[in-house]
Amino acid sequence: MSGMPMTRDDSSMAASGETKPSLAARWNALPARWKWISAAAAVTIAFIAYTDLVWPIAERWNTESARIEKILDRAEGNVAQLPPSLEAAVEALGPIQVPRTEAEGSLALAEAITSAIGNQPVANFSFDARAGSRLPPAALREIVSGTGQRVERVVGEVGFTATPEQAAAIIAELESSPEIESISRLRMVRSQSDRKVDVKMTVEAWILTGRGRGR
Amino acid sequence: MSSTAEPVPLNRQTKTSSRRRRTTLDPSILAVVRSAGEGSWDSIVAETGGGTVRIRERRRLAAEALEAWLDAERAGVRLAIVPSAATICRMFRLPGVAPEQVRQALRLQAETHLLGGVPRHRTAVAPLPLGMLGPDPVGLLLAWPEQSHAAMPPGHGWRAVPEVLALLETQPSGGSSVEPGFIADERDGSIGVLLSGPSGPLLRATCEADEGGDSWLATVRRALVETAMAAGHEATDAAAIADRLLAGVSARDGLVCSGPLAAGASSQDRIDALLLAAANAATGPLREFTEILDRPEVETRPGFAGLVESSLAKLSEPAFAIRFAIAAILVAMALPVAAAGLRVAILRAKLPDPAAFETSMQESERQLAVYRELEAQAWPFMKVLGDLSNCMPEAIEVESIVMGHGEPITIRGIAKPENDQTGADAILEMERRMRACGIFDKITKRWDPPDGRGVYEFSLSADVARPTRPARFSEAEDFAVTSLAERRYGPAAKPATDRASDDSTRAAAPDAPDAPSTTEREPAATSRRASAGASRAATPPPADQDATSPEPRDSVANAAEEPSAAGSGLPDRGIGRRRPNDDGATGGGREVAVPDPSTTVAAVDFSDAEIEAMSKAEAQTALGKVARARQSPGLDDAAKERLRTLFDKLLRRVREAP
Repeated sequence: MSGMPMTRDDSSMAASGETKPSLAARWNALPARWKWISAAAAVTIAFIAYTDLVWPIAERWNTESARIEKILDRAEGNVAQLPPSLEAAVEALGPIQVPRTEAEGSLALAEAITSAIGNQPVANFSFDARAGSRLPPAALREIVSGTGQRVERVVGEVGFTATPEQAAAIIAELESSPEIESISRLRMVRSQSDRKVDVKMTVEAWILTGRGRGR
Repeated sequence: MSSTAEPVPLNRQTKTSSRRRRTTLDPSILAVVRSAGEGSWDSIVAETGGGTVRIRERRRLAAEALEAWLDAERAGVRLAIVPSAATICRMFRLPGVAPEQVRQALRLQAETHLLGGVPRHRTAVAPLPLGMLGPDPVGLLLAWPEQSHAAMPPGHGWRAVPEVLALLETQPSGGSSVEPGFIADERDGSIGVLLSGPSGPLLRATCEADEGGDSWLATVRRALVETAMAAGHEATDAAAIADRLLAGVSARDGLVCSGPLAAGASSQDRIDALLLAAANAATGPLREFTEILDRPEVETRPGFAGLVESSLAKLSEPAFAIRFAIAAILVAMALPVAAAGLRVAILRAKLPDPAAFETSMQESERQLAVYRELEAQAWPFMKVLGDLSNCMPEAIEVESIVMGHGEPITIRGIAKPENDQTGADAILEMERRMRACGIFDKITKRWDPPDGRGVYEFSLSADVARPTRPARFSEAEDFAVTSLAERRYGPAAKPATDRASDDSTRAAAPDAPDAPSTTEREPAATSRRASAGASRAATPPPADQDATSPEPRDSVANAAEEPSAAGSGLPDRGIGRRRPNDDGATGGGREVAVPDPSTTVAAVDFSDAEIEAMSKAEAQTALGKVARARQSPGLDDAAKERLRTLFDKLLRRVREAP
């Protein structure tokens, strides 16, 4: 079998002429060298545009997503790691405020006590504030770590005479006050003369003191 | 023209694309179209059968109307003529071997010539019928490359028919020589030529551009001369052949051709002849060359395997593969960005203000740290007092309580005999409750011998082992649930709203109006319970009515009107006082006449006007009477309801009266 004379000119495979040559037709008509150069230029431009314009947006979104996820994971971990005993303590101790500076803490303690007492018609009211002992060095490490601060107590000695109901209301208000961390001592003695009780108690607020502060 | 072959049905791709078409199209009706330019198509619909092809109708239609018309005509076979400018045409002289070997050799020749540049579904290669172009066997290759831009009509199921096939179809049957002819169309520079010469027959398809300002006929003539010379003719003979073929051809005609195709006077006649020749080719011996497809015919199997097969078949098309690759790259570039955007959008929806939440969370973490420290460094005193209160029987009166963090709690008081229990029994009961509640541990107690009334002075010390533990008390022991008044005088039937306000009233003395607000500031119910209980725990025997809430106050007031119980060693106050119907049970020896219910109700049946006229003190007194009446045994439902209504009205009056 031998080939017949070939008269078909392959290079003549061009656009049919029915329509205006399309972009693809013009591309096909380009020399191979220019095709490669054009393709390389297009790829380079697309790559630069992608890496400089589009990808930074994705990276910014990814960074923000990672940050939000980290926050959510941390919050979830906090909840998951909350021991039941601490939940009971939160419920029993009521709201608190993270320790303040010494001046703020002393003032807040005095204001909380006078506010609670002022709401009740009590007699023989007395109040004396003094500096208390330091908390153990390991106390509230999460708060003071890296700050060079320590947690100390400001103590208020409170005394008054009131009806039992008034005394209970005052104690409850003091204990539920965020400015007062705790009541460390309480003494209630029934008065023999009337239907009242003499109350003496020691309340505490916790404060942050600076590095090297001596006592 | 005649044909003996059956029409080829519409390909399977079309069948699967439309159930309606599959059921209505008729494979014996054949449509042939040729582009007329500017989106319109010259079309004929022909009926095949009995070896003949008969044109039923011809139209020139726009592309949009073409498919609808063909559907209406139920054309089951659809052919589109592809111009010579868009096809590759090769002829091969065949050896005298078995037909199957001839076909294998032809396929090899086609692959060698095309070098894989044209997919198989766009290629037709077969031997021509013996004698069609002379006595020697000849094979023909027709290919429609994907790079060509000859358009197909809209819709599926179209098969391409190379234009040059019409030159073969119009060859006289049984002839020993080749009838030369050509088809040329100035619109696309398409020229198809069939000649015979010393080298044998030659079928050529080419595209000639108008070069050097020559007219179209001059261009065609040049192509004819070249073809004739390629067929082995001398130059002078070639020119003569060209001139003979072009004789009578007008330069104004669009489609020019020779031979049988040029039988008609007008261009439209020549187009019709061309369409008819294509129809005959599709139904005659040249049918193999009319099965070129735009896209490969895929036999789709059902299920996943069929999907994979069709996908692979689709990907085997170079044009589709290139588009698919470009799409894949674009997706690969866009997907990470889109995923990042979607992810951040979801997270933003879940947490609109991360900074504020983080700040809040840090504050919570600091607070939790303080709580952890407080758990070790502090007690909830009010809660402990409340728990302690609930541990105390009613016969216990507390003189003093001393509590210090980390120290045992110390209680001093007196225990009185009550009912059939001694004071010692009350102290032991208190110890039992303290152990049972789980808050206290290491309880030690001491008491002196009782005095003449059977009253014990005692002191009790206990460690506060688990101060924050929620203690469980029965409703009867829990002062936050069952107040002292309710224990003494029974539950008061009140609306829920009044009950809620009364609870807070019980928790504080009447002369401590701010107590409810204190309760509101407490964080949990425990604190409210603690406050209520602690108030009771530290309550010394009331010296007057002012120390009790409205309901107990009235009960106390009314109790004072009864004969004093001092003789039995009981205190003359509300605490420790028994209900009238308890007297017999406790062995008090005091006979109490059970009043008639109607008399009881009548005795306290205040009218609305009377209630409105009462002062606060009068209302309190009346309230006490009604409360006592409600404890009377034997009340029917109507009486209970009447007393409850009275109680509510009087209670409201007590609150509202100046």
